[in-house]
Amino acid sequence: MADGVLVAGTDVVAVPLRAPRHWPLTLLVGGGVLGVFALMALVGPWVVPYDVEAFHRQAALKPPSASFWFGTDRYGRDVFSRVVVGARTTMAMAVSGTLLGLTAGLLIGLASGYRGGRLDEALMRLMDIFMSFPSLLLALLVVAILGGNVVNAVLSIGIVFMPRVARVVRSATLGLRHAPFVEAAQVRGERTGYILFREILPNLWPPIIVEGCIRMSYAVLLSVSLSYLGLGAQPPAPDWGLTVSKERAFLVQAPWVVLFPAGAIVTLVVGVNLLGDGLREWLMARKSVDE
Amino acid sequence: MNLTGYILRRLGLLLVTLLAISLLISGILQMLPGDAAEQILGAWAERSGQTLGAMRERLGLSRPWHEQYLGWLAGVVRGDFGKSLALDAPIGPILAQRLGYSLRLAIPALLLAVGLSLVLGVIAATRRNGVVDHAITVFTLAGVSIPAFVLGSLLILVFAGWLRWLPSSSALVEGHGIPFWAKVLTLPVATLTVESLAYITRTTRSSMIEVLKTPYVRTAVLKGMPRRAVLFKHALRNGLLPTVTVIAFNFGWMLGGVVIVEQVFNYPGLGSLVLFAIEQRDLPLLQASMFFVASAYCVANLLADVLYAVLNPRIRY
Repeated sequence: MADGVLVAGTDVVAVPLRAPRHWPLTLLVGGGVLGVFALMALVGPWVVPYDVEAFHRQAALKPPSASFWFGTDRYGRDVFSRVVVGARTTMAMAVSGTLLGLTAGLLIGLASGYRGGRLDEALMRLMDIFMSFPSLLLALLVVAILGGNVVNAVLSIGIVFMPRVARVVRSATLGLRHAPFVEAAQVRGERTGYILFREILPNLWPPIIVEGCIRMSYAVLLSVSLSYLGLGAQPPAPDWGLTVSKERAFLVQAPWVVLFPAGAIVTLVVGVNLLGDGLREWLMARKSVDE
Repeated sequence: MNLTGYILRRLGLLLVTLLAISLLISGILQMLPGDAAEQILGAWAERSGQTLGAMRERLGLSRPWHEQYLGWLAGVVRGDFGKSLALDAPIGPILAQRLGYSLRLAIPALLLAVGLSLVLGVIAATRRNGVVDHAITVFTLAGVSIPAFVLGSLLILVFAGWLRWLPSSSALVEGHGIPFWAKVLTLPVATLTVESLAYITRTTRSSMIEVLKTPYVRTAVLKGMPRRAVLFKHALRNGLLPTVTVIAFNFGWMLGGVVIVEQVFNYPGLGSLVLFAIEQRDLPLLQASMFFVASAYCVANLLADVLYAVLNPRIRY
């Protein structure tokens, strides 16, 4: 998919990031969903009706009602408030994990693709070793050693993503290495850093953005899964994955306690997936024109 | 290069990869704050220096790292994975038993997922943009967006909680033979199947759409071949190639799914063994089970690549 924007030959130019004539519906819906969740994560604690850790013991395990919109859990905590504030840990883990993986993968991919030769060979074999681990297992290994918490979960997501992003960036960089504007910059005697970040990088944004969006949906799934396994967010954080695991004993008695955070997870991932599809349609549109 | 040569070369590469993986695991375990003995003993470590020394001796930590690693490797080559601290038993037989359980879960799920996704993908591709196609697209989007533990919890709520047809946990089942395994496996296998189904269906759909556009398929249709024969004899054979790759790519995703699904249903497979080792800080068990699962993944990938080469005679690496 990264090859899409890289037109071989002389017409390699920065793909203009201008607004499309028709915004793909998927882009709008996905962006909207992600926006709502980002807002929840940013201002959640200040707008929710109840403190997420406030016990209302006389109202424990009550179904959704006018005073508790999503019902209450076994301590009488407000499920609605917890779902809204719960966006924080998941969004923070997924976004920082994705950014970390993108940055590390970008640097490795640029170096590997531009320099080539032995460095390329060594870096790519190293990435292959990382990729010969199933992603959740690699994340588990990292978290198991460093200890289960949000920071280490972010680190493990970054490590899992790094080799995959590096491959995409490397193959895109390879396609640009001998592009006329890169060779022109080399002839002008520009520094390598300038060539990498000012000449090559701007051309890589579309595949990186699309890759980032695909990664982001995996990142959400990975972070909620780590939290579910008790290796991500820690109690008493109102994290969604953690709640689904901690409250599973009340699944039948009070399904709302589990169903609302579970629904939030699925909505967020659907939103990110739609956004990814929409972005691909918009940014990679040139590919279908070329075909 | 002929097929045998290709397979032999891949086997050689597999050995190198396995070595690298074992080194990586061993290296990561070395990064533990403190050392393994302190990790295992926890707060006790500070109080009694003697216990700490004994534990170090038992784990062989007094030796330098490369000796520890080589000793471990020599054991693994002989089939000796060391001894679990938490279970106080040799790890090899435990791994073999857990592998058996995990395969009973993964193989039916994989077969179901591949079979169903081929059917769904072909149906969606032949009725492109129809109602059925859109329904399948929505279903696959939901499938890739729902984490295994959410789907598992939903199935437990409906089939164990409300309908009371099946147990919510494998530990609750008694009996033996086919009825036993049917009760234990139905919900976990269903969860795992849906998780893998979605990706494979998406790929099959798009590759079938491409194949159906090709001239040779049009020729087959125009010469009056029955539709079914065109689809399954001509189109599917080529349409399958990307699907095989995706299935291979999804082994990893599926293995992750296995870990989660085993946890959700309290199923005693390899995945829950890894989690147990993490919880108990049982480092020999963690090292061995991680290595075991990663090797299984590499072998599965190799099998998929060989299958790909067999299916597609044009490709030789």
